[in-house]
Amino acid sequence: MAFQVLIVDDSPVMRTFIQRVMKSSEFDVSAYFQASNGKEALEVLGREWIDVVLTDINMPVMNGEELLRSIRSSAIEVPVVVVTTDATDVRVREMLTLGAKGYLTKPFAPEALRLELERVLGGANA
Amino acid sequence: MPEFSLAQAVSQAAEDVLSTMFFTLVEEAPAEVANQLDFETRIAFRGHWAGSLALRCSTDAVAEMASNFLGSDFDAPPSEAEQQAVMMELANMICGAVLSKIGSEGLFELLPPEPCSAASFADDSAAPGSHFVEHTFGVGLGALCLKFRLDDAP
Repeated sequence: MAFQVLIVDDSPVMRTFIQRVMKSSEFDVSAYFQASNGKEALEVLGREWIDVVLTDINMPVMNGEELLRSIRSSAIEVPVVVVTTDATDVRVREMLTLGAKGYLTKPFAPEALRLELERVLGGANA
Repeated sequence: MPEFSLAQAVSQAAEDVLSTMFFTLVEEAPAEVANQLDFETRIAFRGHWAGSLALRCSTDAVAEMASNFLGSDFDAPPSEAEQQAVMMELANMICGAVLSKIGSEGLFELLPPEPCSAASFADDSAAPGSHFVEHTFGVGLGALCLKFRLDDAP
């Protein structure tokens, strides 16, 4: 089964890095979508089928926390993995409480991203 | 916060970020290398902690790190804008990693990284009541200098 992935980060080079890492993994991804903030991500989620969202927290316009709240209060059902530099316990708890299914701290090894996606997607693509 | 533990956190964070996501090994560099660096960026943070991280890097090192990070082909190296963006992301990741290492219970916010001038970088130094760490690494053919300032420890 091929997945459609949405990468949300205000840094275009970070989006490029994540997409590159995913392409080099064994995941069968049929389409990559990118957004530079939560508002753009919601627009993509409103028009495309997305299997998993990878999002940063600190972003202008609409941050990752606001994106998670918006997804939770909408009819959209999509697993969200937070990818951020913030590894503090309080932030991890906050994001998981808001509905994040995964949490990956930068820096991360390519293998860590693969394992986290495998866990979140239930091993369906392993 | 003891200065030695902040120094360890800065050093370890930089090594972790550079080796894990930039596929770049670091080594100690002589202090005089800092005078040959010409690519500056700074990121500020606030919240449980407040302060800033400034990076200064040689052109060679920036080009190498950007190529590694973006997976660029040898015949299509990253543009200067991409190199600057990679430097900003490097600052973002090292700063977040340092703050995560020195305290896991306080929320912090990283402000958007931005280029800074060489003069501004040179002005970064220890201030009364602040904790300050400066460290220079050898990175490939070049070098990377970090200045981390913690202004308001709880």
